[in-house]
Formats: sequence, C-alpha cells, structure tokens
Amino acid sequence: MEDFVEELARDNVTEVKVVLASVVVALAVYQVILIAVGYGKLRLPFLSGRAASFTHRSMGDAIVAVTLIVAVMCLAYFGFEDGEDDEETRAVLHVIAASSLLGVLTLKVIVVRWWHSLGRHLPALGITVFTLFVLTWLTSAGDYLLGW
Amino acid sequence: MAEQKRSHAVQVVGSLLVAVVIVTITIAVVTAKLGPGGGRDSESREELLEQRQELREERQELREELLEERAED
Repeated sequence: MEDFVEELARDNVTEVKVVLASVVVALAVYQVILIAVGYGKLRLPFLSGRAASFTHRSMGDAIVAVTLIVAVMCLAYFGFEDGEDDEETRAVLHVIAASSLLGVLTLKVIVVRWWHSLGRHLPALGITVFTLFVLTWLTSAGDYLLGW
Repeated sequence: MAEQKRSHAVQVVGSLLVAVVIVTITIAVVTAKLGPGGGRDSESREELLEQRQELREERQELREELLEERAED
C-alpha cells in the first residue's frame, strides 16, 4: 500500500497530501458560509437558502471523498507512529484530531442520511467537524506550509 | 414555477462554480508555496526524507527478521 501511494503521488506524498488537505479546509470554510445562508443566518441577495443547502450537501459528498483519500494516504504512508523527537506532540495532536474528525464526520453523515431524529444536532455536529478539519490541517499541512 | 426552477438551478450552478474557483486558487497558492524554497526549507525537508528512509529501512529489516523467525519455527 505504501509503495502504491508513493507511486500514485510520484514520490511527493507529503506535497500531494498538503494540497488536498488545504483544498478541503478552504472548501470547509465555504461550506460554513453556505449553511449559514441555508439556515437563514446570513442573507445574500443572489443566493437562496434552498440553493445554498443543496450546494452544501453536494459539496459535502465531494469533501468526504477527498478527506477519505487523504486519510488513506496518511495512514498508508505515515502510519500512526510517525513523529520524530521534537515533532511528537504535533503528531499526537494530529492523530487525535484526525481520528476524532473521521468519527464525527461519520456520525454527521449517518444523521443526515438515516438518523433524522437527531437532525436538531446537525449545527453542533457541523461546527465540530469544521473545528476538527482546521485542527487537523493546522497540525499537518499548516505546520508544513508555515514551517512552525 | 418554471422561472423559480431556473433561478434555483442558476444559483446552484453559480455556487458550485465559486467552489471550483476556491479549489483552483487554493491549489495555485499552496503549490506556489511548496515550490523551490517554499514550505519548510530544503534542509529540513531533506532531513525529513532521510529520517523517513531510515524508518523504512528499519521496518524492512524487522519484517525480514520476522519472516526468518517464522521460517525457522
């Protein structure tokens, strides 16, 4: 699997992961704006709540797919034990944030598609997913790009 | 009714196009940052690559040892 991922990214696994993760976070910010319009918290003259909610759902599916690809790349190439000396804290934080993200994201998808009675918790779930996306990015791609 | 449907479709397509623009800009900005001299400096990047190579070699050795042990058993 590790070799497959490496071949797929042409030996630039980290860079590909950084780009994909950054795209996901940028889209996550847009998702927050869309759902704010969808819930009527933000009013835009050129976008109705219905259209914003529809786009939010469609893009959500794409974001989940890309997130899963990034997660598989990360696990296959870096595994859980990656974290050299001074980077150990960051790596642990990343693993915790990313694992929680996958858990909460799965729960959100289940609530949206099948567990409608918990629909009232969707805003809280959405905010949690967004926060975890940002945390996961900050502890990996953000750290890599900004060189903290 | 038809007018409403058309307006809805235009808004959906428009908001999806905004997403495409966001993706394009993000890829351009991140790729520019990752280019030569971008992101972590090349020295620390080389260090990371070396560490990764070492880790991989260690894992390979461990795998081979395990295989040998199993063959002996």
